[in-house]
Amino acid sequence: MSQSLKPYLTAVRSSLTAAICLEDFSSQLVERHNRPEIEVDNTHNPELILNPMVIARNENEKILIEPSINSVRVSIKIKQADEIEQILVHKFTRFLTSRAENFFILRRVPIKGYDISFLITNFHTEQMLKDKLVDFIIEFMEDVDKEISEMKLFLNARARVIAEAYLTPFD
Amino acid sequence: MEDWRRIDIDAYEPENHLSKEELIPDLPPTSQADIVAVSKQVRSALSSGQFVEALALALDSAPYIADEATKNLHSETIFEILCSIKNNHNINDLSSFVKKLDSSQQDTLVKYLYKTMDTSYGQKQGGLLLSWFEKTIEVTGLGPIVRFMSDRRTV
Amino acid sequence: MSSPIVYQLGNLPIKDHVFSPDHSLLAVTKDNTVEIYQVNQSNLGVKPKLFTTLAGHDKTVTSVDISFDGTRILTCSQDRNALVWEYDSAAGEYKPTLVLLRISRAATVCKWSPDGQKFAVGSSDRIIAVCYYEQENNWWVSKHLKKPLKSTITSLSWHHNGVLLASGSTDGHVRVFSAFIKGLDEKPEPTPWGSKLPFQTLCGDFINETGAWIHDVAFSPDGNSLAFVSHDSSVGIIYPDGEGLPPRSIINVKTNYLPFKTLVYLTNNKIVVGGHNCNLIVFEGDENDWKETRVIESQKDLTKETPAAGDDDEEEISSHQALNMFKQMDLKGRLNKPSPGGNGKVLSTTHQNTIASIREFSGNQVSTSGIDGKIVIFRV
Repeated sequence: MSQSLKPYLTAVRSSLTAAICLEDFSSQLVERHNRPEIEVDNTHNPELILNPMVIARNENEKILIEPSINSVRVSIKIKQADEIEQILVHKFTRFLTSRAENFFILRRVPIKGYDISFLITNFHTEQMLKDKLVDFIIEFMEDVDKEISEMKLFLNARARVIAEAYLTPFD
Repeated sequence: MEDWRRIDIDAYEPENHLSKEELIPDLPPTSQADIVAVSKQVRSALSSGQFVEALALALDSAPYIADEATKNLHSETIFEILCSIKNNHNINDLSSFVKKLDSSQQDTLVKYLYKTMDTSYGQKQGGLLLSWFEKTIEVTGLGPIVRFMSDRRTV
Repeated sequence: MSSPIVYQLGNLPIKDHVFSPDHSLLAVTKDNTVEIYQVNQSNLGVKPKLFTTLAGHDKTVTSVDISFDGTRILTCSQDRNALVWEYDSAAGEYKPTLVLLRISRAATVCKWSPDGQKFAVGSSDRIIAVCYYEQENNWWVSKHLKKPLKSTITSLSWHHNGVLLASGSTDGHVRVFSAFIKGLDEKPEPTPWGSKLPFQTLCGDFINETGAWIHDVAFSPDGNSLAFVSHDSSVGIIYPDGEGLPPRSIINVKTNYLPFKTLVYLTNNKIVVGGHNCNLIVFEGDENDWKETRVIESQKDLTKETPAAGDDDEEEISSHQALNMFKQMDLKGRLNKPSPGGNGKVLSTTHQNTIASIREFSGNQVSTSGIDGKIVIFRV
């Protein structure tokens, strides 16, 4: 683990642990509804939203945690150093989000400015243990970097093979 | 006719709901001049090497009721202190600084750490802020993070 | 210290629970129903037997309470209703009585008054309904406490005189109301909270320093102070100084745990709280100062990653291992199966998920219920 990744992940872990303190909360505005308060318009009950937090490792790698009384939205910006990484991250997150129903907490559309978003509600914390959820997100953050750089290496290797094949003269 | 399905009916009974303004705590406002004065005191304390005093002073005079410019000015002052402490000390000494603060100062410190991480100058120094954050949480536990989220006295 | 008594009653979250005063019955909320268990009073170690299920609500039941004589069970739910259940020995089952709450949002909390003559229901409709029985119609009618509530009521607590009612809400206010019903209540003795108490008098309105949500409130046994827990991980105690005067002292004890959800004011000098950190904390003190004195169970530091207990005998397949397994299959066509699962990594506390409610069980015991479906009786 690189030097500055550890404090980053520690900060994310403790912030997530503190943010995922949710309870069952029925809507104050709409009768017989129970909706994630972070996802709906809150002009009329601003008291249900807590202060959002940003944890940044640098300009390109940060995480936004938006807590509310019964749901937390976690958005991650994955490191993208060049155009290839941008394409890879885009493809990778698209692949995941289009399979969002298998991931329970994954949000189908990321928040603007971020690459991937999770939505954790009180129903998730009732079924799953909280530290497992936190572990999952941390693990995801660790792995996604690794995955992207691995893909980039594969891509480069492949490009080299193709280039060689093209440039080999016909015998 | 207006699209009646989209009418915000809750807006017609404002006495039933809280508005954002009502959540702002009832505290005396801080003026920009006060904050400028604080930042001067802080700089002179820093230049004479009184790091803990500078940090405590800045954290105690955090503006809760003020305009954005004033709040940002103060968070820049705090950022300056954090940088200068970091530049003049070993990274492992940071926890001893945190221990010298009282619990409400520690809470305020965490508030400013989160705030500066959301700014462009803070993100350039992500490593510095994260090591401060790590050392603070080691000392205090999760309490200040919880209070950062739930406190209506935002910085 | 004797180890706590644990009942694992299924895996569904138990949002609220209550023992009848003689400890013969245990009522727990389960989704849309309330389950009634028979408890073996002579040997608490025996797991309670399911006696019956009260099914009358069509949305999540949020709160349950049993009157002081143990005859009436009160339930309320997010379907906007509250029901009073009485045992009909002829039919051999509990029969519900309708309560005219007149609220249009979820009911969040319900509490019997100490004498069992009336009860209060808090709601997301920013209303507290104080209900009493109307003989001629055989139903419970309600009077509303409305002003100045502007947010969901999360908790209620009755003063022992049965007139004062404390409420906590998500706007961070703790309020004390008079719930005096003419013709039903005797005129109460004057208390530090006030002496003249017509219905809907606001006897006290306190806001927490941070303005965080109040999760639970409770009057002290002598009624002369009021404790609350809020989402900023603190415990507050208010000592009033009489009508119209600012309180004599407000003590706020900040802690470094996760927020507390629930508290019980055990004696005039002892409070037990529990919540998202899945543990119970004891506070002791008086008017001058309160201090955290004891943590019931030892606990790991949540800010750190728990070291995996030796990678080889890791009990559960984590997503990381699963990924590695598929990678192995993909690249090498080999199957290295990680060892089969068990319970996985668990917290060091008895409760594995948030403690949703604490009740006094006996003088030095409290019972807790958790989102993990456990009822636990702790000695404190």
